[in-house]
Amino acid sequence: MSNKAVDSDIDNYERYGFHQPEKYLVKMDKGLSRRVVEEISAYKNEPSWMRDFRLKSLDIFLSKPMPTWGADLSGVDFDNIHYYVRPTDRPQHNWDDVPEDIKNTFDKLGIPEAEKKFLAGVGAQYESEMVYHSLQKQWEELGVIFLDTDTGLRDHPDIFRKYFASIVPPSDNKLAALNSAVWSGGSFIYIPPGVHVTIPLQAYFRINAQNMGQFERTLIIADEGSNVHYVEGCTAPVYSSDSLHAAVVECIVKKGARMRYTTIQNWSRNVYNLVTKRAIAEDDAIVEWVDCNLGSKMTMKYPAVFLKGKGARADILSVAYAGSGQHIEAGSKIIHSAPHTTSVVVSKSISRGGGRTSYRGLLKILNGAVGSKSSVRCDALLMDEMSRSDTYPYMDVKEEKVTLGHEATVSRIGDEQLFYLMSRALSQAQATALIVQGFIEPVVKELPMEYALEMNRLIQLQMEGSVG
Amino acid sequence: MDSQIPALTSTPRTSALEIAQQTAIPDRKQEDWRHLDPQAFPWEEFEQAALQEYRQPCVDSQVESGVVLPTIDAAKLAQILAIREEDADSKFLYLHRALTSPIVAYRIPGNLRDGAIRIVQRISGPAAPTIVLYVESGADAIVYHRWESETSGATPMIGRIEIMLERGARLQFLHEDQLSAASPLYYRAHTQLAENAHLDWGVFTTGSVWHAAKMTIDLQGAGAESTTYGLFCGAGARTAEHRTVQNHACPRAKSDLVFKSLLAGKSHSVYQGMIRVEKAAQRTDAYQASRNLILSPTAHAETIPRLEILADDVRCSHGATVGTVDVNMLFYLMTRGLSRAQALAMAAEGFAEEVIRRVPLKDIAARWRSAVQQTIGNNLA
Repeated sequence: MSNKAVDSDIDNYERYGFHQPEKYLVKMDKGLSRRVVEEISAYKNEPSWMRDFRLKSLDIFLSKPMPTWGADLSGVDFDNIHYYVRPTDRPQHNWDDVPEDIKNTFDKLGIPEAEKKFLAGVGAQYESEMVYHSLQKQWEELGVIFLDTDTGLRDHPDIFRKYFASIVPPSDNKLAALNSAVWSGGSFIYIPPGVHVTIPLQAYFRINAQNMGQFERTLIIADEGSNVHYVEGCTAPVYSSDSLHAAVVECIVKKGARMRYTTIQNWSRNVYNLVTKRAIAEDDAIVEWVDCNLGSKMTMKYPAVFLKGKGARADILSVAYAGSGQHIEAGSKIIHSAPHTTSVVVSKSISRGGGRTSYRGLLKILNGAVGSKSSVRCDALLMDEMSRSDTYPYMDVKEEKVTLGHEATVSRIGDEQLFYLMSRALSQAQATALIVQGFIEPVVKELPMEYALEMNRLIQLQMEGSVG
Repeated sequence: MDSQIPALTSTPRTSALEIAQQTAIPDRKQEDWRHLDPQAFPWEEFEQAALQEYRQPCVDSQVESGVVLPTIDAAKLAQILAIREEDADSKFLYLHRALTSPIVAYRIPGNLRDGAIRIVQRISGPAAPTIVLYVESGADAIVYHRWESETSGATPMIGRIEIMLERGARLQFLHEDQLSAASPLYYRAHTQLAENAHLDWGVFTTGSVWHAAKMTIDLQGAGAESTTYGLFCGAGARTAEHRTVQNHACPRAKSDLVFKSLLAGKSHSVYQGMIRVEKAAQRTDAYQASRNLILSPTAHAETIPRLEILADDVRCSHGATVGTVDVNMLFYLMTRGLSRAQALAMAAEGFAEEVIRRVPLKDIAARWRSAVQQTIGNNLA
């Protein structure tokens, strides 16, 4: 490895890999039991229906087998995980009130600066709980709700109960059941009819403790004709033992509304990232998932859209990068159940240094979804002969009047492309990074500018060690 | 595996049957069997047939060839027929082994050029026919093979096709199955290509109530090349599942595959494709396409084209499409005075033609063409 590569690793480490000393109000013992679930519910002072829901979900979790069809999950040890770690007693609305060590963490990550500059609202989750939440006044006045999910349950029980677990029931899969049993934190967002939130809402998720399980639960309701962009970022320090992140995200996008959900996932390479994300799109609604997966040891994530209303549209854009020891399985799931629905999936993946990326997608067009259109495009770039790329799309069509196309290619960087750029005096590393940036450009250009810059910087960091 | 050869040649049918009986029916939870219910296959009927001390093979084979073809020696045959891997379909293979008859096995010698061999097998009961073609270096042959039902009732069968191409050998292989609608069919076709061997493989079927085929192309020698083109033309409640595997184990091999389904009535097509490129298989060029044309609101198309790529200096891609006839195309044809049904039929025939025009034997191309016309015509009228 060149000096440059070492430097870039250090740079990356300094930015995300640090960790604060562990200091918590509550840190439950490792392992999962009825008692743990009851205690979480008791700490949170929840209504009894939620406690019952958690306990029922725990039973479902215990009865379901571990999925065996995707990434190798044999390394996940459910008994070696802290299911609940509470760093502070309540989320703060003023940055100065956030405990010093946590504030340091997010200061280092640049969250408060970002908030001042270009965000409508910010949430920051540290371990199991949201530690900070704020929403600019102008949006609050329009009736926008942006809270952590626990506060959402307490302050808006009616909306909460109506939508919670309506899109991802605990019986959906083993990890959704686990999340339903021990969920804590996450964002609760409600956008009233017709309100356009023109700048993004953001949440930042951070795992600090060792052997930590983070199970945030996000619920977004975009009411008729509204518009919202939600951005989340995730990081964790580097520990030698593994952590687990099993979130559930549910989005209800009503008639004519538009929701964009952007994720920049840069977990450290010892986090199992097993996430269930799903949205329902009603008539003429638009759902966009922009999903960038760079970190984690293993990711299994298939953002889903149920196109339930006439003319609804789904866009899924994803970038996956897998380096040494990583297996990133990112995909999509789209169900067309109404006429004239449209879906577009663009997936870009890069494997390097023995990493493995997989695209796994489901595309279903039900009988009656006349005039539906779908296009799926998966491109994979293999950076060396140690790496691997897989494509596992599944298309199921039960309607005649549809147009569906799927295309996938796997290749490496062309010698001619490199030669051309190097003849223009770029080093091989620079040329490679430039080509990779061009490769992911269709997705990156959809990110807010600050994130696009960050994304390009992250890719550059990853690429710098790739040659020489 | 070499160790399995003696086991296979000396295994009496009864012990193959025992293994078959001990092997579980494929589970619907297994990835390969999620789409077609393995329980619906007439296992019992085959087991009963295999228990009989003497039974008719239920296959009437007719072979037509311009030359007398030599047979394959026993050791080679055993090597080719060894059950190599245990997988989700093992029960079919052992049951086939227990019942197998006849084994039609030909060695195609290196001095045979431009020969066309035709093999037609008529099936009349639970049958387990086997076709083995061993193509020697230098040979260049065309082989056409068909399974058809003797009666209009159910003629269930498990078939096996094994093709081995020696270095530089060339084969154009055409396979057709047109069983009666009520006949369950499982077959496995396996091809092995040595260095610079060249295989051109055409497949045509009209499906049946239960139809599953696994087609494997093992590219084992550098520079080997295969082209595969398949067509399922389904109507009524006919169904067909095709699993294709393009296994690239060596450098500089090329494989190209297109599988088309033309779906009328309540027909159902499942296509599962896999391109697997091993680490050693640098400079692979592999392509796989699945095309589905739906002609009825009750037809059902499922397509699952997969890629698993472990080498980096490769060109691998796949494409899949599902849709109905383009309205602009229909409109154009109808402005020229065609009825809607005629226009649809013409578009459907055009879709099939992409496969049929590659058939090297004129009479077979005509046969496939008329089968398509009949299936489609009956459904659109």
